[in-house]
Amino acid sequence: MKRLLTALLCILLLASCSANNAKNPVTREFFAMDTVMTLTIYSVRGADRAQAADEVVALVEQLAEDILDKNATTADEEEMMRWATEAYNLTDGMFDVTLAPVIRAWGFGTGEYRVPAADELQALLASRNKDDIDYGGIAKGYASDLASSRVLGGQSGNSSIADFGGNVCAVGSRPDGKPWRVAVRDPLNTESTCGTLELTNCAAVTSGGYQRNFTQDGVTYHHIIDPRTGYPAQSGLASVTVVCETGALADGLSTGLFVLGKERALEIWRENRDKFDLVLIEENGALTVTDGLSFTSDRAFEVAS
Amino acid sequence: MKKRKHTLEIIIAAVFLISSATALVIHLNRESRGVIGVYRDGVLLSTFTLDGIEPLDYEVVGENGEMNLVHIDSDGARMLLANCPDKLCVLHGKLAGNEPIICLPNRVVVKWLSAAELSAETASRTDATLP
Ligand SMILES: [Zn+2]
Repeated sequence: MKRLLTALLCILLLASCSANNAKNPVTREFFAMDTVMTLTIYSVRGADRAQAADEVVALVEQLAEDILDKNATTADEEEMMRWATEAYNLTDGMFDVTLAPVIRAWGFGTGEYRVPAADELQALLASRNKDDIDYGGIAKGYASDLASSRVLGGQSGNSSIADFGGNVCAVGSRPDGKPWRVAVRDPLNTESTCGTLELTNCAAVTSGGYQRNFTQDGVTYHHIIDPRTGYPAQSGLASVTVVCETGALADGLSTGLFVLGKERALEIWRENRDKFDLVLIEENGALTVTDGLSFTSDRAFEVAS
Repeated sequence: MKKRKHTLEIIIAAVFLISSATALVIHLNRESRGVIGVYRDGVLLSTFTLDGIEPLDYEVVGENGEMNLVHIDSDGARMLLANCPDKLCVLHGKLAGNEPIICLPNRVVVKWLSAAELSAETASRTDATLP
């Protein structure tokens, strides 16, 4: 009954929206890198928005295929490695692409979830090397950077927003000239959101333990692994949102800062406030936002400076 | 006997359908009574949540010099001024009941937002959600 009402309501809402929106954007929804991706273009250089949308989809699909085949072009691989290294350096090594075999042992990525034995994890941690790395932790962010630099951005007046599986890339501003409004999900009640960010020309990425996890014998294990222990990170944070110019860096930072916890994350932000900003949500619900952001919420939050 | 049972089932289904349709209509028409929307040319220009609002005058200006001034306070809204020829909108008085204030010449409407309009408005205010 409730579902029926919701469905009918949605249909009515969609009908009323399409009726009075004269300047409809070109949108695409596609599946790549294990996630649903959406693209909304209001204006783009060269003016052919449909062609631009097709170009972005092709670009992302090609990158996804190359990464899967370990066949990424040298330029893409170098760029991804560059941002992965920067994220590694900025997070005391907590974002680490060589953690791939440990993450696989837990079944994240393959879907065959299990709790590895402690000595197995120690052995995997000890044998990490540059020949077995996974760019999965920054690939979606990097894909949004490519879309923005090659197709969507680069000219004032461009207006589009891409959501690559939670890696939001905001090009320009809304067609009415106001900033894009991006809601941050409430990690403690994933049905709702806990505030809205106003963004122009930047990327935003959220990492949280609620996004991918499994439960065994009453214990929930999430996908953000602490490289020091091999176990899911327990830092007191429920989610970390990073806003930054580069999607790939935001992607890596959100993971690494989640592992480090609130205090260290804010310390690192204070040393690099020109590079990124943060929304931190703790497991007790406390909300902290760094002062470079324009954030609104109907609940109380602390502004870090 | 078998046929009668079938008829009964149809009646039950019909009653269920009618009541759910009614529930839907009621659901959609129920105005929140807390949020007023100002429209021009059918486009929602601005919304005002009355709870705790400071009295204000909101000006709507059209391309051809049309002007309406909407006064809004915690009680509701009324058209304070308009440069339309008939002034029917100003004579309407306070926004009361389900009757919207309409300025036909200037194509301006002031009304309570329904639950559906309110959720559409909220959705349109967000461009993406970080998962
Ligand atoms: Zn009038």
